[in-house]
Amino acid sequence: MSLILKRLQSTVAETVIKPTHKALSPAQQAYLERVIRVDQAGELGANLIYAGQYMALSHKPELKPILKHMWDQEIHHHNTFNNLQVEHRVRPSILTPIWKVGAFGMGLATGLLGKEGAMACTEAVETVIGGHYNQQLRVLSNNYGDVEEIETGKPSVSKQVTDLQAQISEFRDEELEHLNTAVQNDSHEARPYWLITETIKLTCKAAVWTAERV
Amino acid sequence: MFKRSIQQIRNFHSVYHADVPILDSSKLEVKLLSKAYTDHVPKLGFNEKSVYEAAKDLKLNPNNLNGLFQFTTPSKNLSMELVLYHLRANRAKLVGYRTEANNLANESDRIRFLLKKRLLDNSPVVSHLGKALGLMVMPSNLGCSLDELHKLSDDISFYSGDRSNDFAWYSKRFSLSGVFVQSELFMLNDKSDGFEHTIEFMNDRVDEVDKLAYAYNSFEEWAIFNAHSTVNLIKSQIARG
Repeated sequence: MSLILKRLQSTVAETVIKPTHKALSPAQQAYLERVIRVDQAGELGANLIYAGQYMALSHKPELKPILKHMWDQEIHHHNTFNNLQVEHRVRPSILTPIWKVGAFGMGLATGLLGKEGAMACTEAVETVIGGHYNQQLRVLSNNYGDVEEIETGKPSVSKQVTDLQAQISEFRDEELEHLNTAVQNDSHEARPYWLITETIKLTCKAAVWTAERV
Repeated sequence: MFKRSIQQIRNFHSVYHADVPILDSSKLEVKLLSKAYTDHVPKLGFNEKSVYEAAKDLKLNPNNLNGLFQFTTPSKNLSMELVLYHLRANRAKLVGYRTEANNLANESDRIRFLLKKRLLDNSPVVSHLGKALGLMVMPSNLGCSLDELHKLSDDISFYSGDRSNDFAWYSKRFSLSGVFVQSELFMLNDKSDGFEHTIEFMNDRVDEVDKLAYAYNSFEEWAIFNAHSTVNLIKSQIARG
């Protein structure tokens, strides 16, 4: 919650780096733009889901540190993608206000269902996000090897793409760690388990589809 | 109408990849328009005649011009291409003002500085600007012109160090576009020295936007603070039983 109050004023000093590669093709640029937009919106959502759950459940001493740990990681992911969005001049999703309200509401509602409900929500969200990040990594490793270096003219993958890959795979691992935590904390005990998880998975997929586009 | 070609998507900006230039000056069309814009538009205005004159200067056959532009440009209109050249060339010039802008203390000052530079760059052609604006708002040209307007406000925001991540990104660019269009309309009838009235007008508009943003942010802070404390109050009452 304190995050909403802070307006994320981390400023990164501009370093001058000389371009090493020729321009990406329009399709490659469009995909990178889409990746950063949807991931930023996704991490914003994750951040606020944990904010909502934390608000509903932070009075339980055994749950508080677990939620806080996951929330802190999501804040770090969110800040990272915010910085990427600004540096690469990517348009943020125009539905950001809706993502904020929806994610916070979802976190709060599942939190009010109790510990199991919250963990089922985490399980569903992180399942979808893990698969989504894997899909992005596949595209990044398959479609960015043909850009020529400026000096030698040889095609290779630029640091731009490898950096983003490293970032995404690190975040994917952390998201899957959250999935483990959720399962260890009785997410399967939530009732009705399948209804909660399937609804949330469907919602997440719809949100990903939308945030990629607008 | 909603289908945008992929070339029109704004460039993803990457430090590791070469930037795509706003105007590719190796193209014949761009050379011709550049000649027409610098040498003939200030006298003749944004019309086909300027391009014909420039073609004669460059030893091209002026009778082929429609053929040259008909198939390579989206507007299919010589005068409109000249107007678009004016927009793009002046937008490209802003890159050169960046270092000077970076010396200014805050974002608002940098925005004012860049807007001022952009408006003053209109001055050689200001007597023909009214006609150019008329061309820009014609329904068939409106798409291209709005696209350029958005790119201008996006560039100014980026160069002035905007770091907004949410809906503020949109509000900022829309209000900048609004300020620029209003100031440009004011400029049409401005007879003051060095367009100082236009600059004053622009500064007043930016002041208004700044005030509105401040009011909104203060309200948001107040609302979130109160929502937070209400929840905490309810929680503490429940905990007491």
